[in-house]
Amino acid sequence: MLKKWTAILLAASLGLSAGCWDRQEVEESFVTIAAGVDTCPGNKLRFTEQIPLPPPEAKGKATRTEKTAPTGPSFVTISTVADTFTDGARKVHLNTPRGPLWQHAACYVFGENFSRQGFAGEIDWLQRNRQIRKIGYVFITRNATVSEVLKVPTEVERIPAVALVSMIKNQDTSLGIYTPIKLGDFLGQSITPGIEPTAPGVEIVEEGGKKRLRISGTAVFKQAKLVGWLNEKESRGYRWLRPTMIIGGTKVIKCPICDKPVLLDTLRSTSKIKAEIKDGEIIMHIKIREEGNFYEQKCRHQLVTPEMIPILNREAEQLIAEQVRAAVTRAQELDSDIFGFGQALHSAYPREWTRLEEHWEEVFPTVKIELDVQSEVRRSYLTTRTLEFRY
Amino acid sequence: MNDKISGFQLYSISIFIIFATAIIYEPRHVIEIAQSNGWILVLLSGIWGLLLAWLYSQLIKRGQTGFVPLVESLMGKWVGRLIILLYLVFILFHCALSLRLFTDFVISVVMVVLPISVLVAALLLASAYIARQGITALAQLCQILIWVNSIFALLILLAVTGQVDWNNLLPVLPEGILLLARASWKHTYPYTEAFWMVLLVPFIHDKKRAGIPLLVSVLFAMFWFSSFILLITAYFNHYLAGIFTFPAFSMVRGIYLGEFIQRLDALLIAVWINNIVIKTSLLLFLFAHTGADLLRLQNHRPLVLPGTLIVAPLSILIFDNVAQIQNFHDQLFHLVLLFFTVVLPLVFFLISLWKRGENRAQKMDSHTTCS
Repeated sequence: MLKKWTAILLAASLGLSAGCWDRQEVEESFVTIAAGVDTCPGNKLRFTEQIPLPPPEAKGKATRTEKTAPTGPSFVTISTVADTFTDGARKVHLNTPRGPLWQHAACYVFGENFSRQGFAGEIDWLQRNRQIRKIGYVFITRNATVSEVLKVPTEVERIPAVALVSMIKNQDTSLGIYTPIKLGDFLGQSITPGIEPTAPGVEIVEEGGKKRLRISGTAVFKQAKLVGWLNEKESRGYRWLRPTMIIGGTKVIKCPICDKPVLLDTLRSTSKIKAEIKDGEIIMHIKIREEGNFYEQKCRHQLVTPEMIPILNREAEQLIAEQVRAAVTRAQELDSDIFGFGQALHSAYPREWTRLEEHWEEVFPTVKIELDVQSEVRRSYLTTRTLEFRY
Repeated sequence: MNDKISGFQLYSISIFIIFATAIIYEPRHVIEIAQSNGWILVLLSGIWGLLLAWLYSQLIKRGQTGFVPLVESLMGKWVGRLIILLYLVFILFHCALSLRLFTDFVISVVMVVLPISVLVAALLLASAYIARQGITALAQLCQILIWVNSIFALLILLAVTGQVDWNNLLPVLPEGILLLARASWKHTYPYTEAFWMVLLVPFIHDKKRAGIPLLVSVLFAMFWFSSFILLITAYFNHYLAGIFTFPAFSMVRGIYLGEFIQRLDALLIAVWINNIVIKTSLLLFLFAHTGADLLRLQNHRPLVLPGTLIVAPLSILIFDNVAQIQNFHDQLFHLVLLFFTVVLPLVFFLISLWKRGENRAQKMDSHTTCS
């Protein structure tokens, strides 16, 4: 009898315990692909959200065999003015009939002015909101507002937010200038003592009367405020010191014989920072181990030989060291410890760190670095010799 | 348990070991030297290869119980053991080198970002497993894969044939055949890999007729090498072909027939993966088996793992970059290989002839004394 009633109770509970309580119907939702925030007169925030629109053929007019190129708009960018981030995001309901799905947000764009004023206390919502995954990429606008950036139509990728994410990821593995940063890491570095966050910049450029988006510069933060930018060379130097393994990138060195450009690519690179206090001076021992392949040359000299490869390796090491030094010098000028030297000091000298932490911003510009770079050319893809043209 | 290998299996193993790494690097080397007549150079080298195959078959006949007893009986116990020890070191080195040559190819053009250690570990794990199973399993695997490889290679050659310019093979022997014949000994080394069959003596079913599969394997290797080099030269011309590090691979990537037959590189890579797994397995097995014979062990299995553990780091650390690999492969490798697979076997053969003559003389003496 007991078994029978238990079974009935369990069966009845199935209907009540189904996970419909927090349901959000797809038909009643839109996907937020990018969100951003900028300053607005009157001490208010301008919240901007980008929503991708379904392509025209998905609206049921065209069948699979009658595919046509999408002609209508592929996204819509909505901006609202509010006191807080959340308020701004919810005011979007005044413009759209559906509710947002934040889980697919691929990028977060902060305005340059907003970043210069400082985001402390302004983006609490991003950390607290359970629907926001912290894996979206962070960008800072340059000489433009967030809504201006998110309204620029992109050609190959129909949605600007998706284009931005693809651009930053692809340049990382192929070109290797700027360091992508995810929201979780950005927020984490903002609150961790001994390290400051950076984020790639994005600007609008005009080419042939058409507006395009371009990744440009690395924004350097200090105490949650944008304090300056790293240029291309400095951004490369910063990238070499990334704590995780670097995969991809290029190095342009000179041919040891004729000074013409030679391009080596990077397969992988790792770095380690170890702090040392010597005679009251703080020294950061930076060890970089990089390996890559010979990729391109503009001269006719045979460079992939046992004699020339060590020379190319030394050239690449010098280039990497130069880029790292440029990045460190710039960061020290801006007084922002973007490399995590403070953390390295904390790990090696916890007692000294407690003493130095409070006035680290005064100490950081005096920190010296000692570089130990090893670069190795391993392979040369399909050819070892260059083409010998008859000219 | 029947652990003998048939004539066809011997042929299959032999052709696998001749081809495994030579087909990756040798075409460029040959074309650089002989230009448009590279295909003739490998045929001339093959003549030396046929002579060597005969030499190896004679050693197989003489080494009835195994390679270790044969060397010990010919060279004396301690000198023989020292020579065997040298062979064991060389087998490990050769295994590491072959593995590195192949993995470097894969990492250069197929899976560029993959760490070399991962690829080496994966290939060695498979090879060590096969080596532990013994020669019968390895021979059966070769017996099957030889068909797969031959069909794939034939398909590739047929597909390329439609896209070549036969004029690129001209002029034929502009400076006569003698100049090429002189260079041919250096390029004999792929065929000398058939020597490793001598170490399989105890497992060969019909030792007296072992020469036939060896000779056939060299003949087929000549055909395949020559065909590949001929088509590579005709496809690119010798100027361009000599620049590619992996010309066979570059040629296959260019196949584009009937607007739909293309990207046959997967076939070539499959063939080369089969080749390298077989070669590495065989060399690991030969190390374990010969080592077990030297140490008078009952079974080869305990030595497979130590051999694998030596080969893995050696193959990664042996060279820093592709230029060092090519330099060693082009300048030194053939000399080292020729020492172990031509010079020493020739010494064994001559001593065996001399000892046989001495025995005959003794028998004649004792016969005369008795009568």
